[in-house]
Amino acid sequence: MSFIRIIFSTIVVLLISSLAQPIFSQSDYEVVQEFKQKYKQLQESINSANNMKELNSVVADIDRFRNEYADKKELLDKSLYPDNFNRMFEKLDMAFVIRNQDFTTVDVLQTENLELKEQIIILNNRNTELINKIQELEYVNKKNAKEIAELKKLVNSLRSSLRRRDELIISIVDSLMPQLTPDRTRLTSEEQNQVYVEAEKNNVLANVKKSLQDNIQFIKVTALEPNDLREIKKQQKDFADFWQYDGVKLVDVYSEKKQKANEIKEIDSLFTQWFRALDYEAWINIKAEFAFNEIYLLEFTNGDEFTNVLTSFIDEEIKNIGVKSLEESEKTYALFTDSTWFKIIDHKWVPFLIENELLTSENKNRIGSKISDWKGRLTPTSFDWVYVLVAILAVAGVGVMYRKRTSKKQES
Amino acid sequence: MKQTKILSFLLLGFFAACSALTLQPANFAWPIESVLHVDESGMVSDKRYSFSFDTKGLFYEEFNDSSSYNEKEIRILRDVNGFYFVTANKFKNVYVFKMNYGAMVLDIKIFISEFGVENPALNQRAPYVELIYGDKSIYLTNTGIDRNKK
Repeated sequence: MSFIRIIFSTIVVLLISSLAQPIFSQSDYEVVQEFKQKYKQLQESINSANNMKELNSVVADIDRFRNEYADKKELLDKSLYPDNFNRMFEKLDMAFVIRNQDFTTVDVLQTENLELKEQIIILNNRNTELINKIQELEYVNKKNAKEIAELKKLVNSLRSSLRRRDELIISIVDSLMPQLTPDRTRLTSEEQNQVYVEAEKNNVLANVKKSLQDNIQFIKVTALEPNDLREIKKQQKDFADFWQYDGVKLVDVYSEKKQKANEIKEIDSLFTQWFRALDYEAWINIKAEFAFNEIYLLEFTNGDEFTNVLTSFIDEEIKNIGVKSLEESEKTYALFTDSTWFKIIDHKWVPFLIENELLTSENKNRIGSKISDWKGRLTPTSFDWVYVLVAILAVAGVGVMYRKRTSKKQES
Repeated sequence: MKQTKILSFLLLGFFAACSALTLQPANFAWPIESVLHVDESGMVSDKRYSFSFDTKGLFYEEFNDSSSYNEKEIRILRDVNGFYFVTANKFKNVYVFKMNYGAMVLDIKIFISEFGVENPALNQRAPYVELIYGDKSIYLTNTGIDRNKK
């Protein structure tokens, strides 16, 4: 029995020693090569991790790897020149930290997007409520200062709310879009798919559309001053710039999706409507300023029409001089020029119209000279008396001088 | 007596002036061997230690065929004393070289196996160089195999 045990033990020892031999006599070169290969695999695992879970699973592998080669540290220190064992693991840890930050940033962005999305929903509802309230107040007569003040407050609130939502939409779309370099102006198909999924999750197209519709509605329901319109112009420019840059990429992203491609076209058309609505708002408000002073003009929607309507009105008034009473003609002139043109239009609106290329300087000068002509035609009747008076005075003066001269002659 | 003293001082001064400057100790050991691919012209070069040499003579010495270097790789390791130990797959010997005026000069040829070594590898085990081939391991110095080292 003990003999069998000895034989068995001997076989086990021989087996172990035969197995141990290659390990003991392993080539240092092979050890270093294996280390480098495994190291590279771990680096690839870190870089190719798709999420935090996958990345965290690499931590255990790194620890195992470090322990596996800890007893070869001396060899690796010498062989991994210019690095060493610890430096290699520091690099690996650094790669892990950097990749970890990528995911943290993505997580933060996703959370931010979620928050932005919620804020947009809140702002959508709020803006709709504000538009309705403003509409109510605009349609009922503004009876007192309190109601007017409330309306102004609502308009301001709605304006900033619309602006805020535009900014949120821009932030969301910006965060979805991969950064492109000047040498790479188009998204890859993989990037396009990713943007599509995220854009759909965030209702990007619906939100852009809603924003444009609300902005148009805002212009329609409010009476805006040139400074308000200037601010909206700037907002339009920012939003249009954003759409020109990101919209082109979204067109690529949605080019395969027919229904969505139509939505993009709709957005383009809403942009045009928004720009037109702002210009139209300016003309409507100018017409309202004249109407406020009982000058009722025909409709105009551009600079030429505006100039024609105004000069025609003046021509008509010039024609009516002598037909209407002088008092009536003077009143119309005073309301048109002093109370409206010089006080409000020329002072407030004309600079806005010219800087936005809605009115040319020639048009302005045409109106100006027509007003001068009107003034010239209206005042001669009063000048006649001055001429008569001057003539009487001149005749009287000549008469006095003649009498003085004859009396002097008689005396001499 | 006085003349003898002066002569011995002069001789001492003469020998001191003639002996070369020696910096000791010095360690030339590489941590691991270099495995170098022989190119089509028979040259090998190493980036880390920045050297190159022609191997055609080595292959001729081993195989009596100067073209047998094609598609081969050699393993080279420098020991603490600065000797280069060179071998390759199917080599019967390990060649020990030293540097001399832009040449690798054979110092000794250590016979290992009549059948040639399979998958050899050289490890630095200062002051020895360990040769592993198959499942065997032996220790070498620039004078030959050290039978005492296990």
